[in-house]
Amino acid sequence: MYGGDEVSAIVMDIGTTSTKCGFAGEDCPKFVLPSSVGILGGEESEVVGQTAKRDFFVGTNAIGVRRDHMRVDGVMRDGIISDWDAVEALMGHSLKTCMSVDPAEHPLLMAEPSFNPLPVREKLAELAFEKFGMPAFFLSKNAVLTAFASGRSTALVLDIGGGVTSATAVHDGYVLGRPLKRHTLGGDLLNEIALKAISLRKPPPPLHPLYTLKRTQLGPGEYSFAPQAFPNTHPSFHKYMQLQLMRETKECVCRCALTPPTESAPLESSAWEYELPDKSVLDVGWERFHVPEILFNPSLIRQSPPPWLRTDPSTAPGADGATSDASAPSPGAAELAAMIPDGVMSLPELVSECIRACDTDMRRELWGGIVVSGGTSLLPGLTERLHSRLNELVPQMSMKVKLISPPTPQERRFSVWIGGSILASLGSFQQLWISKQEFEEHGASIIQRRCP
Amino acid sequence: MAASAALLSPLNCGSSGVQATEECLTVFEQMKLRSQYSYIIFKITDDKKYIEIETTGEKGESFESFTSKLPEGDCRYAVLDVEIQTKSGATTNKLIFIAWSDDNAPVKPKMLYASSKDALKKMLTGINEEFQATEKGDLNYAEIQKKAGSV
Repeated sequence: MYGGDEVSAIVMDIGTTSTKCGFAGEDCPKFVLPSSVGILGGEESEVVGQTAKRDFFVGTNAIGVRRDHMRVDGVMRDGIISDWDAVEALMGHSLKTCMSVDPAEHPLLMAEPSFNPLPVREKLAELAFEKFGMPAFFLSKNAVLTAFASGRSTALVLDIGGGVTSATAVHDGYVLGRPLKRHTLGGDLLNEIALKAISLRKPPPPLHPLYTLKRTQLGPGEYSFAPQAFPNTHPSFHKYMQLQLMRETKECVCRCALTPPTESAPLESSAWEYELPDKSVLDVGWERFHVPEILFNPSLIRQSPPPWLRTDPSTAPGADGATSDASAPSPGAAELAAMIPDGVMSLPELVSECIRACDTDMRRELWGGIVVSGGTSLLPGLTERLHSRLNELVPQMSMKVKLISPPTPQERRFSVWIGGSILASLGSFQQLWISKQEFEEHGASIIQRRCP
Repeated sequence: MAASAALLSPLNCGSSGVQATEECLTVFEQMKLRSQYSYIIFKITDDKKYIEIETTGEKGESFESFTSKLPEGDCRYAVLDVEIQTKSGATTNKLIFIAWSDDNAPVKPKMLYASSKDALKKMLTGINEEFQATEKGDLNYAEIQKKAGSV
């Protein structure tokens, strides 16, 4: 038992795209930083296991500065922590630099994906206790925290995040492992697809991230921007910056169509202009509806690739429209379609498949409590579209479909963190912490017994 | 009273560590064995440490009077005595657990009640069915009867 009621705990949620950290009891995380880190040294080419010492650059500012040969890499693969040195750097930066706390004085509640394997959980505990000397530690599952924060102990949590989209059934505060459905089609992949589609245009429009631009002042309030070449920039850094640009573009213009596209009423793709940092204007009319549509119809991009990638009807005479696209996809279109992992289900299917894998007694309740969370769920129109499709998929008309999405964007984006923040601030929660002493007595396996 | 009587067992708590007082159990037993009440409404104390009884309903009180006691914009737990019809056609009574969590309630009480529910539910033995209500429209007597096992 850990009795540190008077010291506020720290709540941390490391996601594939962003890491959220802050003090328990607050309404919003104090710091949100990218889960990607800049790496110098210990080149990939070296033999695995013998990597030289690597320097990490963590945090929005450090990663945004261009350095010669600096690589950018995420700390997670498929939603599971893969680079432990980078995670250590990330946690150290969050605790010491961002929050300016002494880790030895504050207990730490961490959120983890519901499918986190046992070795990763144990290693997180080891990291907290042995590397940072935290006095107490607890692990909570993302889906449980989201469900609790919406007032339910039984719910279906659909988390549409950056790197992973998952549908998880939570029953009485426990995650049901078997029905869990997930795939890697999230916001990040949408950014990459948009970037790919734009770069396949003929001619490809120049996408200059902010770091390549040099600003010259022409007069009061007037500037000119000229791209500069930095030959020693690592390609992963350039790509990261371009993807950030795509993310901003997506957040500004993309939206979900309210009805699925049909033969007679295809998705709207009239011109839609977006101004890039170098003041050039990009037409994102196709991307505006087609990119979010991938979440609802992953095979759409195969059936109707962007207009500039369709085979020219004049070179394939006799065929028109969809048939010529299907028979002879251009290499670019095939490349684009290959970016979507095989067997990806659309969001509504993900939900209904997950519920179908659950016990029959539970299904009615799960259909009546579908909690939508995650940053990508903020795409305008997404919840409306999802709701109307789920109403068609529900197996019995008597079952009521109820979609719950936290009202404010912050609550939806940070629902996991907010849940953890409230939980860790409860006076009664203090008896549930795993203390350092208990960890030393029982070893890392205690995590499996104490944190469901 | 609450503080001294509550410590049944350290393990007898949900994900939040909130515990139910012994009074909850005594009153519930009276409801279960002697059918003294038509419903019990539970709340979490202001210091967020214990679950206590807020109100009880006398035998024969209507369902409407029960629903009117569930506050809007807040959360509660309740045990309700429901009249159901079995497959053979006989009418019998059954107890059902109701978790009330208004959709319009702030995140904090929602989180608190959802994560503490297990503590109370584990203690109230003999209740098998649970009903989650998140808006007044969910509190439909026919739906609750169905959930309790009526045909």
